[in-house]
Parts: sequence; structure tokens; C-alpha cells
Amino acid sequence: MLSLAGQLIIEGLGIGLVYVLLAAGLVLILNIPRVFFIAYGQFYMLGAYILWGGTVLFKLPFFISLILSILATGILGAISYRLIFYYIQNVRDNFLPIIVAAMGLMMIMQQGALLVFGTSSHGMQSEFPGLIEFGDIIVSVEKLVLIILALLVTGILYVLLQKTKIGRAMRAVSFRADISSLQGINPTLVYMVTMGVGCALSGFAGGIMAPVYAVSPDMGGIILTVLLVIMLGGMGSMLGAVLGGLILGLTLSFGHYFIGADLAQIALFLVIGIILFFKPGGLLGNPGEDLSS
Amino acid sequence: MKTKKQLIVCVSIFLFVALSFMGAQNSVNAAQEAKTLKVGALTNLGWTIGVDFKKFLDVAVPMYNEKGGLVIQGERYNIEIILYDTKLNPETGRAAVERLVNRDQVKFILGDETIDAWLPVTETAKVLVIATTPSPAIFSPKNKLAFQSSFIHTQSAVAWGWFSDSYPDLKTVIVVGPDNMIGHGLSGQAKFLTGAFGIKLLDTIFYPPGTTNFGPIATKIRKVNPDVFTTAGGGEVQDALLYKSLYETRYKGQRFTFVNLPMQGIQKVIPLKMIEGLVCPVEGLKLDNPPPLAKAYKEAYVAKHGSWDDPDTLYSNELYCLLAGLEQAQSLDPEKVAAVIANGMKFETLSGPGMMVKPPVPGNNRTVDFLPTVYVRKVEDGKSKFIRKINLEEGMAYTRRAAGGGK
Repeated sequence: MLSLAGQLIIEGLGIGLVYVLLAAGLVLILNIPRVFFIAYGQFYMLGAYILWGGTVLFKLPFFISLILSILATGILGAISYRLIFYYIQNVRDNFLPIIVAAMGLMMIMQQGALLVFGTSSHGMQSEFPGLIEFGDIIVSVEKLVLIILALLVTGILYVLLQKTKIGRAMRAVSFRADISSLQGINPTLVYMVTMGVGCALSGFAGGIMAPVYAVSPDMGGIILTVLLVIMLGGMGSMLGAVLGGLILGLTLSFGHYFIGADLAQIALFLVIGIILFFKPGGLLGNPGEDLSS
Repeated sequence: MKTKKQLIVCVSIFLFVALSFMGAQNSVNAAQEAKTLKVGALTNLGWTIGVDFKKFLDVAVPMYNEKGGLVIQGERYNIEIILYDTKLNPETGRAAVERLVNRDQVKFILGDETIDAWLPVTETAKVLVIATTPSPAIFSPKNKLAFQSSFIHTQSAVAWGWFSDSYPDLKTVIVVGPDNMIGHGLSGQAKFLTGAFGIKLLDTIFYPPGTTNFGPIATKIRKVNPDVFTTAGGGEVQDALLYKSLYETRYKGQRFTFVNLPMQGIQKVIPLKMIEGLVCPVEGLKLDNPPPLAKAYKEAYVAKHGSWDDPDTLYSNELYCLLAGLEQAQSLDPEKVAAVIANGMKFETLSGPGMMVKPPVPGNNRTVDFLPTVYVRKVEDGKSKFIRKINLEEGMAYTRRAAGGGK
């Protein structure tokens, strides 16, 4: 029984950590430039396709393709802020215009992927073949690599936000952009960097997922689950995003095993409903809380 | 000398002009002689199989017309396809059929999986339908003009029958498929056929169609440890990911699929060593030495689309069944064509000879389903090898056994 639980925890961690990365990136975008970035899932898809294209079509090494995924999605995210959201951000009552602009970007990326890559899913052979056994628990090397990379990047993100100048600037801008600009911080630059970092996290998550699972144009639909994770963890909380991602991954893993894949989806909503009933702001968030708190 | 040269030049010019004129006249006559027979077609262009069906029609129909087209009572017809995208949505499918029947005035339709939503429309309008669907509704005796032309019902019976005879010691199975119409249709088939051929179905597991993480499901299969594991309609990527997860649990049971598994697609995702020992049926088209029609189709496909990208041909029999029915009935009357098809019509397909049979369902006496020649292959030493051809007579015996509950 213990080995079964261990196995399911590993499976849950694999998918849960990907949600952690995605949720962390989106929390940054929601809290700093305050863009309700509905196209976020498409950056996840783009990252996966870049990795797939790099390794399968251009025969590049895995890590080179992964770096390309991160760079391309990060740069595209920053550019999309400067070219689109920068102009809408200061408009009064900008919520709807931001949503519409993000949806436009989402559709362009989605249809672009369909045109370029077609409707079918693409898989790729594992870059890290082999299995490792811990007693009765069997873990594939590629899943282990996914878990390690996801943990590593989560750690780097923490250091970036807490220990670096740009991280402090991000938190300051998130608290009060006008006051932070009096301290010599350029909010526009910070917003661009934040969009870049957030989208790079999404691209990175897509990149590490691609060899383990599969790549398809509808991957962007993951945004809904990511929003659930954020609601579960608390809207403004990075730690909440981490917790939310892990709870989601583990609920699905145990749910798939014990009650079946379909009921597991219902169970997930039930768990989220119960948590939100007792903690309406999410596990670690309060309504109105932002990153600086 | 000069006069002779001039004479030769004049004669050559005259001959050239005369021949060109005659050629042009002939082609004008030919174009005038050939009438057009409009045939409706439905598919879901949102998935690969549907797109591949369109590509198939784009190749196979001109190929047929160029070879002389359909000849009925000395009258020549070119086939013209009017294709609508149903998006696999029953309401869209019904709207498309109403358009085909009322506006386009077609008398023949190549249908898709949305058939349950619109079959009453075509039956009332006396339109002949040849469709591909896992739904057993098409077999209902109240339908007079609807036929199922793909291998999906009978091949499963043949495959399970052959498998149970060839691996008599394997007695338990788990089926895993997507939670959609195809997954449920095929899982229902598996439930019926395993019962008919004496294999105990331990569990049927459904997963949401977009699933890519199969780790927990594979862990469950490993825990139950059935003799046989089979997939039911997940498609190449999801099936491959499922097999990959299963391999990662070190499951040692027999892998078997009763539906065709496209090895080229599987190999893009996982190495074949992950499915070592897997036994599955294969279309004749995918053999190293395919049947003559398949060979000609492949050449025409490459000429049209540039390369052979291993397209799916699940729906292709719809066209071949209709054309054979029209040719053999020598009539454009849907009821006369239906009578010929329902009389156990034999016809050539991309997988070799096939014939119309009673479906492998107890108590159904209408000859409404299609039986193909079935080929079997096995993954051995990391390679997929052809191991067996099950001809129509053997196949018929297996479908009868299935219909009789295994007796």
C-alpha cells in the first residue's frame, strides 16, 4: 500500500509541478502588470512545439531546444506587453479591453499553430530513456528529470523574486507603481520583464512536458486548470500557487487510480469547492491580496 | 527537291491541324458524353481521420473518373463529391444531410459517426447511405437503405476470435479507452466479444479525451495484472502514451489491440520495444506488398500530395462499396443498389477483397455490415512483422461464432 501511495505521489508530482510552474507564471502576470492574460496557455503550447520542433525537426540537443523554448516565449511575452497591453493598461475601465486583446492574441497563436502544425498531436521519443526503481516504486528517468527541472526552476523563481534587484522592483511595482517610480524604478520595464518571465515559465513548462506527454494545438486549454490552481492557492500568493498545483496533481493522480479518470475531475472540483467554502480567498490568499504582501 | 520539301511541310501541317482538331473534338464529345453523379459525403475535418478522408476522396474519385468513371446501362457518369464538415456534432451533421438531400438533391451519401442523428431523414427521402460508425443503430431492421462499410465491427470479431484461438491460455483482460463515442463503442464491442470468445473482462477504464498523463491508470492496470491489456480507440498518440506508461510499470502481460494501430505514428512517440509482443490487426494498405488497388492508390496519392504520409483510410470503403453497388446493380435507383449490397456483395478495397455480411450481433439478419480480409502483425525484437492473413471464409466463421455467443 505504501509503495502504491509512493507511486501515485510521484505521478501526481509530475503533473502537479507543471501546474505549479504555470500558476506561478500567471500569478506574476496577474499581480504585477495586472493583465488578465487569457493567452497564457498558448505560450505553454508554443514552448512545447518549439521543443518538439527543435529536437524532432532540427535534431537539436534537448537542453538547447529547451533554452530556445524559454527564450522565444519570454521574448514574445515581453513584446506582446509592449505592443499590445502597454497601450491598454492605462485606459480607464481596461478590464474588458485587456481580455479582448488577450483573446485576440490567443486566437492568432491557436490558429497559427493549427496552420503550421496541423490538427493532430505530435509525440516524440524520450530524450531520457530508462527506469529507476526505489523498492516497488518505478519512476521513468524522463519524469524524474521533469520533476527535478520543475523544482529547480521554482527555486530559481523564488530567488529571483526575493533576492534580486529586479525581483524587489517587481514586488515594489506590484504594491504601488506610482510610488516605486519615484524610487527610480521604471514600471514599464518591470511590466515587460514580468510578462517575459511569466511567459518563459509557461514555455518552459510546455518544453519539459513535451517529451513526457505529447504536443497538440489544443494544449492552450490548460489555462482553465491553471486558473483553478490559482483560485485554490489564493489569487495573490506564489506559495499558494505551489500548494494549489501540488494539490491538483495529487488529487488527479489518486482520483484516477481509485475512482476513475472521469470521477477524478468531479472530485477535483469538489475539493476546490470545499476549500473555497472555508477559505474564500484560497488556501493562502486573501481577497485583494497582492504579491507584495 | 524544293517542291518535295514544301509538300512534306504542307502535309505535316495539315496532319497536325487535322489531328489536333480531331483530338479536341473527341475530348469535347467525351466531356459531353459523361454525365455527373453527385454523391454527398460527411466527415469531421477537425480531426486527422476526417482530413485524411478528404484527401482520400481528392485522390480516389479523380482516379476512378479518369479510368472511365461509372458506366450504368452504357451511360457514363463522372462522380462528383459534395463534402460537408459535421465537426462530429449531431446537429451539424443533421443540417448537412438536410442540405444534401433538399438542396443538392443527392441520392447517395457517404456518412459519418453522426448518422444516428439524421438516419430518419435519409430513410424517409429514400437516400442510400454508406457510413462508418461504431453505433449499432445503423443495424436496426427498420433501416432499409443504410449500410456500414468499415471493418470496425467485424474486424474486432475476427481479431478477438483469432486471438482467443491463438492464445488459449490468456483468460483475463482490461480495456482502456477514451470517454467519447468511439471509446464507448469499441469498449462495448470488447465487452461483448470477450464474453463470446471466453475471455473474462476484468475492468473497462475510460479517460477524458485530452488525457496525456496515464501514469495512475497504468499503475492500476499493473496492480490488477490481467493476462491481456488492450486499448479501445485512443488514437496513435494517446495509445502510445498509454503503452509507454504501462511499460514504465513493468507490466508483463500480453498487449493486444483489436483495432488497427498505426505503427508509423506509434513509433514517433515511443520505441517499439515498449510494446514488444503486441499483436494487432493491420490494413492491407500498410503491408510491404499491398493489394493491387492499394498499390495504385498509393501511387496516385504520392502524385497528388507529394509524399506518402501514412494517411488513415478508415472511411475509404464507403466509396468503394457505393461504386461496387452502383456497378453491380447497373442502376441509379438507391433501392436497387441497396438490394445488391444487402445480398452479400463482394468488392475490392484497399485491404484486398471484402464482402457485406450480417453484423456479429445476435438476432440481426440484415446483411448490413462489412467483412474485410484481416492481416495480423506482431512486434518482435523491436520490429513490427506480418504474421497472418485471415481470409473472408475464416473471417466469416469468426463473425458467426461471435454472433452465436462463441458457439
